[in-house]
Amino acid sequence: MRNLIALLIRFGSLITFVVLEFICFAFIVNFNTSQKDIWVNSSNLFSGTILEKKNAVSTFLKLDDVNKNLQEENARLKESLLLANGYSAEIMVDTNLQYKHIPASIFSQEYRLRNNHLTINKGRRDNVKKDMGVINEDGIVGIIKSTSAKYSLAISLLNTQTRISARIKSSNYFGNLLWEGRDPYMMTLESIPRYAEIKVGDTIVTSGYSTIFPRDLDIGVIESFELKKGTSNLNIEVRLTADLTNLSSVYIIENKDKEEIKALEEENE
Amino acid sequence: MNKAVISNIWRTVLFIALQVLVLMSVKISFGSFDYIHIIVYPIIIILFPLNVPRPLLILMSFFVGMSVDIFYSSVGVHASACVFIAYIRDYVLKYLEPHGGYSIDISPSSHNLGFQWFLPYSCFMLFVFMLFYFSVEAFSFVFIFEIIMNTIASFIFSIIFILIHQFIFNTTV
Repeated sequence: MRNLIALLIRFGSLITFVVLEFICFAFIVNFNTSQKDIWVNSSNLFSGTILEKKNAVSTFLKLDDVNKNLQEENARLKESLLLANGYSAEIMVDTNLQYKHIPASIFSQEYRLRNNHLTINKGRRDNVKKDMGVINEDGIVGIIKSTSAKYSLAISLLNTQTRISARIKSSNYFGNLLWEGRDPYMMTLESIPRYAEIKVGDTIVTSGYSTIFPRDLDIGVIESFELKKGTSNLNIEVRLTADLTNLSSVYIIENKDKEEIKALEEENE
Repeated sequence: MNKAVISNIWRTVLFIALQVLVLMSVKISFGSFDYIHIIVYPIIIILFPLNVPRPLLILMSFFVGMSVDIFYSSVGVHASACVFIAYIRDYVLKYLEPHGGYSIDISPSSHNLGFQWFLPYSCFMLFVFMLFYFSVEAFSFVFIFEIIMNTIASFIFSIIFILIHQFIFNTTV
């Protein structure tokens, strides 16, 4: 106790000084805006530097784990790459190597006329050729009719010249899909025999019997059907799954084996 | 209560009042040169009698500084500078101690110890005060130019006031 008092007497003024200066600085950084800002910024700078150093060290120590994780991820990616048959990320629908998808966007579109066309912002420069299919996420959209260097013109499904080979998914009967020039949401499927077992709501998909579209792309669903007068065929009204009045991004389908197939067919004729 | 205590209380009150009522609103600037701030109240600490215990001197300086701070709305800035010069006053006095030593209860004024002695003492104390005060006010040595300009300009003007005061009033206690 006596020592403590002696200590206080000896260092009393120093203690008073330090304590009061401490109080002053506490006041300064708490009640004065500009000093407070500087204090906060400086202490952030200081603590930030320390934390950064610490982070650098811990990152270095974790390198082994990170490396291991990366190797695992690599293996996983390679595996999925094999599964996808070397396809690029642009591919969305098909996993068949025969078809390649070129992403594109619609430059201008029409749907009120009898023969509607679409202008697409990809052309010869991007390997777009005549008679390639155009699809979007919901279904098929059209067929390329002519190309320039940077653009291409496609016949929309909503065109009286359109003939698409289509198939009823559940029963495998196939026929021609055409547009009668009235409703931009409806098309007609022809040449389905009357004894085909179909019902409203069945899905219509591409048949795959042409070199334009791959098999089993969505087209629409059956809305209604009736016997075509004077024939033994059904007339089936199909509601399109793709909204052709409101298109933005599409994919152009390139069939890599088209030339080969064509050559083979010509050889036989 | 003896005469010394009363006269010191009076001096304290008067100088704080002078500082916050008059000198605080005095703005001297020549164009963009606005570094002059007249601060004379540290003379309270400079002239505190020598027999005041050092911790008490530091504590009283703290309160002097805080009362000025309240008016300057800069809580703690003046107080920290006051506490600092109160703390170093003992060392300065020891360094400047005349041959005969100090008589224990006097005020270290020009009248008691002579102008020759008082000039370096008050100059040093006030300069340290200014340097400390403007450093704390800027709070970062990024503003080193402003700190030095403020210190020098304000010191020159303020010391003139303090010396005039010493000539006019014979501060004995």
